[in-house]
Amino acid sequence: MSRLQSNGNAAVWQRSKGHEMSDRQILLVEDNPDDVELTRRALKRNNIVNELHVVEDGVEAIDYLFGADHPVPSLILLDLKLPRLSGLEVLQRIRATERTQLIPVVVLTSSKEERDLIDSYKLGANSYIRKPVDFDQFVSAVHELGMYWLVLNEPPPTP
Amino acid sequence: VIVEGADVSEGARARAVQAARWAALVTVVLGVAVLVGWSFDIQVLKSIVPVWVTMKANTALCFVLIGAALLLLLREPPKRVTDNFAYALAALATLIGMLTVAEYVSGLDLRIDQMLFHEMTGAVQTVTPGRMAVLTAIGFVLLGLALILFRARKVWFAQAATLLTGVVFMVSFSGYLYEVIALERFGPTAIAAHTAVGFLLLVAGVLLAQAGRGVMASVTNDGADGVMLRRLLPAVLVMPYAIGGLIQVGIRQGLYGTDFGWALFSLATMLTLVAFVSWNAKDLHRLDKAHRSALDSLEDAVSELQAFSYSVSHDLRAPLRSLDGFSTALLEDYGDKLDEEGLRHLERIRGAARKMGELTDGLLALSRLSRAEPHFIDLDLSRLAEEIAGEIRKSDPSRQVEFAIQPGLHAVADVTLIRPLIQNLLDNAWKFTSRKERARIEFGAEDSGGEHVYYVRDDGAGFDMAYADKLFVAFQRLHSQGDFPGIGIGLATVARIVHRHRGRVWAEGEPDDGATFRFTLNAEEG
Repeated sequence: MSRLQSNGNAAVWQRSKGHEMSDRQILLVEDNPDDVELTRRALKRNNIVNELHVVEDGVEAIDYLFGADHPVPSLILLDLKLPRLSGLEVLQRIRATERTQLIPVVVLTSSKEERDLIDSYKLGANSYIRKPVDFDQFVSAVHELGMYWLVLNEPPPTP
Repeated sequence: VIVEGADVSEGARARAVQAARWAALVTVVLGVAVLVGWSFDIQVLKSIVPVWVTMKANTALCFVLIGAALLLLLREPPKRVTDNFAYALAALATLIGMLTVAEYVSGLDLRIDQMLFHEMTGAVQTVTPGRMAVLTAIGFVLLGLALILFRARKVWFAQAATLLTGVVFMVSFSGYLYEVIALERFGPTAIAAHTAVGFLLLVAGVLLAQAGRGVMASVTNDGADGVMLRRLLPAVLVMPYAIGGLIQVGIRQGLYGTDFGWALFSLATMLTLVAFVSWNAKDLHRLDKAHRSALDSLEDAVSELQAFSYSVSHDLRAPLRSLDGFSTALLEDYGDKLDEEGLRHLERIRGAARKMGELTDGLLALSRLSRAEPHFIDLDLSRLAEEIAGEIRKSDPSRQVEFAIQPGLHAVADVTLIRPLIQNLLDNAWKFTSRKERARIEFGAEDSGGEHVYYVRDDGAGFDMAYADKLFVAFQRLHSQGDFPGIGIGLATVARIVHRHRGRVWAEGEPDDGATFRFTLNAEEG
């Protein structure tokens, strides 16, 4: 049932925003290949066709974001527990750098520890979502997320 | 790390009670010896030295009565019959004391003074022959009452009476030791030296027998206060007498004068006290070190537990997402290639993954309960319960369930913990009444056994009391998933919360005849 719903809504976005929305790139910072695959699948099932760039750890994320040869992504989906540089450290650097400080960052993680929530918001996360075990729920979470950050929300002007 | 002497408490109590038995026994022997002295006219037993006042026969009798009563009360295990006999003996001693006091007050002769043996008129320091000193009489009244109230819940009277007696006879004992007539007399008739000793023995006995209660609470505990009291109290009580007594002998022998005696007394007391204090400090230091190392390892364990639960929350969920996600992918992409059984297997894998997700969440919630520092304030439980009942009702408005919540229930509790406590108990009752067409769920409180006991009662499925001990264990369930679904965390949560409020929780039930969950909350505001 949730699939029908999301498909319906996705069609609405396509109509209202047209190609404009799909120009926006999503950066997924996630070290678990299964989760990458499942996120791709959930995006696809919601007809979110934006370009998805995947980096597998914090250092890669920083390298990608601060590399000047490509535009900054429109949305960052950030896992917290990452090899080498943690998600929180990545977030801190994103907010400390002028080029990236306005990018909406959605923390997408397994943890709902109070500490992680507080630290994420303190460091300037725009949203915090706990990945549900149930894939159907995950699909609808990704739907809401795409709907909000890629359609409803007016993004900061690109520098 | 095992804290050194973790069970000193019980051992120290047992030793204290043993000492109390010896004190009682010696007093009985003392009393009997003096009675023998009276019947065979042996002066040394009656007054030790001829110029001293005699221990009256009634006093000796009372020593036997009180000492025997204490011995009987210390019988293990305690028996109702022996207890009652002990109370009767103590009451008799109190009665003799009271009658004697009445004689002093009224000036009448109740003919009890000479009832056992005859004492001649004009005995040493005796106004009325055979009549014990007024303070001795009061002492027996107090000690007798102390023993009658020996097992009372409130120990303050028994202990206050005993301590008061102790102080009075300490003064009288000092009078004998330092030959201060005014102190040994304290009334028209003097207190005999061995009477003072007998009283000190009994006072010590009664107090030791109450080890662990009231003012004697610290004496037997294994903390720093207990160690200190056990070391220093005997020293402080005995040492000045011992040193003073020895120096007094020197003065009487003419070895030195009073001035020199005082100097000697100060010096000797100082040195002995220094020795005791240093000995005590050394032991306290060792105890302190053991406590600190225990605290360190506790902190280690707590942070390890936190790391563990973080890991449970984060790392265990990732594979579960894969299990559910890829099973779904398989169903969606290859569902047409699988037969019905294959599809059912995949659904089972998904179900298992989701279930394990719930279990890890439950485990986390449970561990979170123990971590936060509770803050106890007075709360209106009735209002909270009404609110929760309203929410529960909304989950299935078609059900006919009557919530009977007693108004005006209050408790000192932590607001973030008490909600899940009541929520879980009401949820539980709601769930286990789901098979009934009409159900009734009660929440109330009653006073029982001096405690304020809250209860949640339902008329639902109930349970077999044989498994009652499993109710509050995490992930233990008494009903099959098919009958009543759940992960078995609700009542474990309840138990954890009640323990955090220093309370108890228990349940009564009958299969198909409802269940009652009772709990107490003993948190103090702050």
